[in-house]
Amino acid sequence: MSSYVLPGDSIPLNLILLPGEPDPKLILGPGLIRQDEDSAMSTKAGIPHSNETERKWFVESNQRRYVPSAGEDVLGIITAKTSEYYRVDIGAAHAAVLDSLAFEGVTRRSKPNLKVGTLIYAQISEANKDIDAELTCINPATNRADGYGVLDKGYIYMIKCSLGLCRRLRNEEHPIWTRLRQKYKFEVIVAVNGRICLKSNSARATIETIEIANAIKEHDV
Amino acid sequence: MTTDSIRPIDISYNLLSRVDGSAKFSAGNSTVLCSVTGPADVRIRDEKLDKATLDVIVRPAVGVTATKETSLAYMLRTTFETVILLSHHPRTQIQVVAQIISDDGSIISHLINATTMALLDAGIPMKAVVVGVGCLVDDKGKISIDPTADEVEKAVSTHNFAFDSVSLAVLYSESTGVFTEEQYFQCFEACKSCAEQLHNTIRKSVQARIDYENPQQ
Repeated sequence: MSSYVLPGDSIPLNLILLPGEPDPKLILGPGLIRQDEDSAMSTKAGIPHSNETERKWFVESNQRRYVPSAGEDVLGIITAKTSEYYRVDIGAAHAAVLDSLAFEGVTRRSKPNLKVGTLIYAQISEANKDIDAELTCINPATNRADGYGVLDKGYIYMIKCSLGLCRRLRNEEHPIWTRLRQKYKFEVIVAVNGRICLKSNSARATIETIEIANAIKEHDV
Repeated sequence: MTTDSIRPIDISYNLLSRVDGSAKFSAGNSTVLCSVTGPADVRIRDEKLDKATLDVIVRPAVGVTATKETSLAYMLRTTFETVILLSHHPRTQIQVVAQIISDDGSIISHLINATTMALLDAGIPMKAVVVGVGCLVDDKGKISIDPTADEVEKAVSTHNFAFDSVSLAVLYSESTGVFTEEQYFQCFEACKSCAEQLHNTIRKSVQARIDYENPQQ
C-alpha cells in the first residue's frame, strides 16, 4: 500500500473477525468512506493512518477550512448574542452555538455578559453536519474550566494558519516552539480550527508576539 | 505538427491566501488559476437542505464573463457535481472560481484539471480525481492530443473528454466539427490513455506537496 492516497483510492481494511462477531464496529475518520466489506475509499488527498487492533482508520490531510468535530478545541469570536446563547464564529461554514450557562461556576443569576467580538477558547461538545455545532467552556472530563473560557486578559493577538500546521503545532516539541522558546517568553493557545492565539502582558512584548506570529506563518505552505 | 501527448505540465498550489484552496495548472502556454472557497455559508435562496451548493464561475483572460464563460461554468459544474460528495456538507456553498490566465488551445480540459487540483488543495471530499484531455482531428485524419490555438484553427473536428480516475469512466464528452463514428472512438481511446498519464502526473505532484508539508516523514 502506498503511503499517499488521492480521492477514489481504495484502502484495504484487513479486518480480522473474532469468532461470533458478525458485524464489527469500525471507526472511519476524516477522509474515508466505506467502499465494501473489506475496504474503504479515500475522499481526500493525504497520508492514510490506521490502528487495526482498535479498528480505526483515517486520512491525514491539510486544508484551510475547518469542519467541526466533537471534542476538538477551537478559538472563536462571538458574532451575536441572545438571552439563551451566543453565536460564535469558529471558521466553519456555520456559526457555532455557545450556551450562556456553559461556563464554569455560572448559574441562571450570574450569567456572563459577553460582548460581540469577544474571543473564546472552547471545546466542541456536539457536531453534526445537519445541525450547528455546539460549544462548551467546561471540560466534560473534570467539570472545570481547565483553560477554556473568555480570553480578555493581557494583549492578545490571533493569527490564522492551515489546519495541518495547527495540528502539528499542538505538539509542544515542534521545532518552531523549541526555537522560539530559546528567544522569547510567551503564552500560546493553538486551536485545531486554524487559529493561534498569542498573549503578552505588555505593549512592548506585543512586538515580540508579532515576531513569533510571523515565524509561525512562515512555516505554513 | 501532430502530438500524441499533453504539453509540459506545471502545477502549483496555494497561491491565494484568502481562499480555502487554490491551484494553477499550466500545459504549454494554456494556464488556468482556480480557487475554491468552502464549505462556506450559503445564500438562503441557494441553500439545499441535503447537500452543498456548487457554484462555478469562469473568468476569461480578457474582457468580462459572457455566454461562452457561462457555458464553460455550466460544463464544470455538471462534471464536478457527480464526483464531489456534496451530501457531506449540507446547507453550505462550495464556490469555484476558474480564471483563465492564457488560452493557447484545449482550455476546456485545462479548466477541468485546474479545478481538480484546487479542489484537492481545499480538501473537498470527492469520489475520484477528474482529469480532462482534449484532442483534434486534422484534414488528413490525424489525431493530435492537447492542441494549441494555432493547431485548432486548422482542425476538422475537436473533442474534449473528462475521465474519473477510478474507473476511467467518461464524465464529460464534447465534440465540434465533422467526424465519423470511428474517428470519435479513436479520439476517445487516445484521450483515455493520456488521461492515465495525466493522472500519474497529478499523483506525483500531490505526493511532492505532501512530502514538502511533512518533512520529518
